[in-house]
Amino acid sequence: MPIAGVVILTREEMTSQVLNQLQNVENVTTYGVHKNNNIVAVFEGQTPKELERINDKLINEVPGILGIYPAYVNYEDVEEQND
Amino acid sequence: MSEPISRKDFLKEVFGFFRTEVEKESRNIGIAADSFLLPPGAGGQDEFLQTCSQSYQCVSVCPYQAIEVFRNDPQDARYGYPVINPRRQACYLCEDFPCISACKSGALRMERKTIPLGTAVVLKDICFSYKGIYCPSCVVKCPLSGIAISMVDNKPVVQEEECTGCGICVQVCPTEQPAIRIKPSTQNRMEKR
Amino acid sequence: MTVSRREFLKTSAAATAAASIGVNLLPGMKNNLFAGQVEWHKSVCRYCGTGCGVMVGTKDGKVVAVKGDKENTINRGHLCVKAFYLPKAVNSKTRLKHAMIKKNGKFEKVTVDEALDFVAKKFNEIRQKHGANALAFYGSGQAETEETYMANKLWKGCIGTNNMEGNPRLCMASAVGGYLTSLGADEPAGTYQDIEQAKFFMLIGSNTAEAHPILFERIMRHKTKNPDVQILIIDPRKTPTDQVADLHLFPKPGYDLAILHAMAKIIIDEGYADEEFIKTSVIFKDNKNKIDYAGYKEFLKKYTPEYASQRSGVPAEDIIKAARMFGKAETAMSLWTMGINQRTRGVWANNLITNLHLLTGKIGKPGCDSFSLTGQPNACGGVREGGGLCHLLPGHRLVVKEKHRQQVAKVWGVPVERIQPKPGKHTVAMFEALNKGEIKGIYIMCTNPAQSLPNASKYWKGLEEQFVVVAESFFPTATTKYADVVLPSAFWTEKEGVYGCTERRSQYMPKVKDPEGDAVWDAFLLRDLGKKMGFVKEFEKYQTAQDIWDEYRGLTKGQDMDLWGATYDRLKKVRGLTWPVPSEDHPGTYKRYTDGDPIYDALPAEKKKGRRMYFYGPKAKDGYATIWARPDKGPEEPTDAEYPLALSTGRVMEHWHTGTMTMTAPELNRAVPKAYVEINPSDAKKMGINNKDQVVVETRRGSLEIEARVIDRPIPGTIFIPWHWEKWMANILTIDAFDPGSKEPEYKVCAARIKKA
Repeated sequence: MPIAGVVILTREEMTSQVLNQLQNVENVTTYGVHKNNNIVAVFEGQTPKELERINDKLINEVPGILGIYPAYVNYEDVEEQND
Repeated sequence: MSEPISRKDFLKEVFGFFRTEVEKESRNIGIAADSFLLPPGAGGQDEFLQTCSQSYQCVSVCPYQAIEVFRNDPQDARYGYPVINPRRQACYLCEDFPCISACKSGALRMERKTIPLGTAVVLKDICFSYKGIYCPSCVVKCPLSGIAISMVDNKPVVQEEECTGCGICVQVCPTEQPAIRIKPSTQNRMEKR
Repeated sequence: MTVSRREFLKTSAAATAAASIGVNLLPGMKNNLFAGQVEWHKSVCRYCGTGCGVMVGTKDGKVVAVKGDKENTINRGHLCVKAFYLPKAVNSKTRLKHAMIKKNGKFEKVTVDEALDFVAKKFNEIRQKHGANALAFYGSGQAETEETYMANKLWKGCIGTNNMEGNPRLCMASAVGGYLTSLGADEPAGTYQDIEQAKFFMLIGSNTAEAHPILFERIMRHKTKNPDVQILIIDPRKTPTDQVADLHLFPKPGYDLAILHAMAKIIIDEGYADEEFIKTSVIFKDNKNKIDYAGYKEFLKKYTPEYASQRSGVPAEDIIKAARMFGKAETAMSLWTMGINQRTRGVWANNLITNLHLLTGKIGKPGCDSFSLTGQPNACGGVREGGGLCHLLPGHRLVVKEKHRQQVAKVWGVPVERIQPKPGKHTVAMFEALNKGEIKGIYIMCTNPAQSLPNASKYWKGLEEQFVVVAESFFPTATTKYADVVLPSAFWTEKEGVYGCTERRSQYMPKVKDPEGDAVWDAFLLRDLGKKMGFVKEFEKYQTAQDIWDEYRGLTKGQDMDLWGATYDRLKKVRGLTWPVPSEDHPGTYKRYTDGDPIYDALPAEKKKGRRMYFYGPKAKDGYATIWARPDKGPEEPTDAEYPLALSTGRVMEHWHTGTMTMTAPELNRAVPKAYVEINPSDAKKMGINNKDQVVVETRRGSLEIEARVIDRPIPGTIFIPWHWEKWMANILTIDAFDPGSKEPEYKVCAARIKKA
């Protein structure tokens, strides 16, 4: 099960709004707001694709997000997929 | 701070294909990871969508099965129209353009066959060659290798005026998400001519 | 308090993310929660003979990443795309994880111990009934030196047969023959350091850009910085290497010998020869006898540019230009690979390249060398130096020399009579003997001959009929199909050992993870097989890789390829050492046969007097190198009316050899998903063939249905097929005629025809 630790950079005035929204998104856990407008969060998924999907969803559906920066990706349980 | 920085470098180097970075860069140049191109001989997208009768003749005659029907997003105006997804199968720009010949609606026209499908753009953030990994795959496989794209200082560089936008580079790029994309020339096709 | 693993991972991931913006998420815990989680280990790339240093990243016992080793002098942190995807090979589903014995045509899982018992019993039966020469070993330039050493001892020293070969016969044997006859000892005089000092490069029979990408990158960078550097390419095919060419000669495949002679003639005629060097350091020979300089000049008379042009199809003025480039250049380096070696006159072609360096004195000086590029990571170290061919013994020794047999038998602890004084069967002869039933049992290690032999399908019969043991890390391969027993081998990163690359550099690789499944290190499979065959005393002493290396190191002491000073302790710290390294305080040798080479330096002063180079190798006499007046000869199978096209095979950058490793990476398969035949547009037009048509390529040996790629890369009259795929096996077509000297087959030229499928 891949896990990604990310920093979500938000518009400063919308940070708390973004945090509220994130708390309702499945497979996303937040770890507080830091340095004014950085939200630390963890994405969980069954496959790396799902992590990407979460990422896309947030970018497209949550207003106020300036960028999502992964700092750590753990792929250890992912089965090798060979064509 | 030394550890987080080295961790970041590590991630950039190793798992540096995580979507966010990719998306960021591609948004800057306006190309999505799975960008679709219009078939050869098409005009601008609006004209194409108005003219195409969705008979899919071009789809059925394409010898490389490069032309497909866009079914990715029902909200997209191109839904149900013929497109090329170069990551799956690039266009070979056949000498006789069977797709254009097969088009009865006038959406694809012979007089526009020389208009490029787009222009290749290298995403420096994820391209191997910008990360110390020597990888000339796109350059070697380009039908206009050395003309439309060449290795300069061990990195691929596109000659925009020569690139036909066929997308073979996108198809072969060995990064997980293509590090070279085609910026479709759909919008400015008419101007470019 | 117990935290679930999942929670722990989540918290850790969050902490790392926070740490990346300088926030300590978990007070009381250190920021670098993951320090030590990904561990980096210094190692060597598994692929070609360049020897790039890699850092292997492991985490929780798995290989998760590979990156370039910035401290390695060869690649300085750079890698090619194949290496980047190595973790996918390590973790591939195609890894062979247990031993299997074939019963009634089906593989059945057994323990490694059971499998080895079975092999030992069968091998002993064959040995008793048919003699030692009914057994054979076929190894690899990808095996570690320690592995090849164990096989060498078991076959040559214990079983008592010299039918002990390796696949470098198929790639480097002609270079070995070339160096021995020209310079008196195998392997190059210089190192990669010469690249940055060379003013001129002759790349001949080498698609460096795709086969040795990192060296090509070095050449490119050097030329970019120094635009006056000139590059001459001699190759029948336009390749990606061409992007650096100042001049490209396109000879008809197999007809380049005349060009090299003509270049020599122009060099002498126009005064570019180093007469002083010729006088002090060179002798001349025709095919058999010693001749003199005048005799050589007489021989060259025939090789006018016009004659060479007529033979090769290259314009005479281009040949003159090429010779002048070589002659005028302040320093010159020649690089070549399979286009020269894989020829029925591969040794001669090697000689003629070195001739140019000897004539101009462009050897033994910075930026000057006649430098053969190696295709496999340990062809030089394990097989050429380690003696893994049927006529060799460890440490550049020969089976025919009694003294050499004695030295080796003593160290091995076997009676000297056990080592046969006659060379065994070379590769093609070995598989021929398997076909005929003269060899009844073979042990194949770390290689895939069912796909890589020339005229491959001819040799499937013997593999089918005889007792075949295959030790492999991957399953299935074209060869495991024919196996009676498969043994699971530990793969790269799962074993320690030494690889010796092109530039005489020996580098250490650590074991960084446990082998997959039941896999065992090849050297220990061989050790245990030896013990089970009854050679307990001979093999029980090897407990670690270092035991084997130290014994081998002892055998190299005092040899031209002295590795005595290259202990494991040292090799673990440094980025390899270039031999001769006669002592632990010796830094390694940049240039052989000249100042700074410890062997040269130790020569008595009267020998060196007036000579900047002294060729002390075992095949040289009185310190002289040899310029050879070799006859001109074309390919074994010239084109004719029936088969009008010359077929050549080769590599693409994304894949390697039979694809066992590179095809585990979907990304590399995407880049080059299948084989194709390159046809020149003018030929294609004549035959009505379009790009992407299915065509049938036929030779006298077989036919292959394959996709056409109409492209201006092969010259008219020639076609090219990359050989990596089992499904489109180019070696069905290739010819198994071989060089009478080196016994290396002529993969690079045969006659073919094409029709639409």
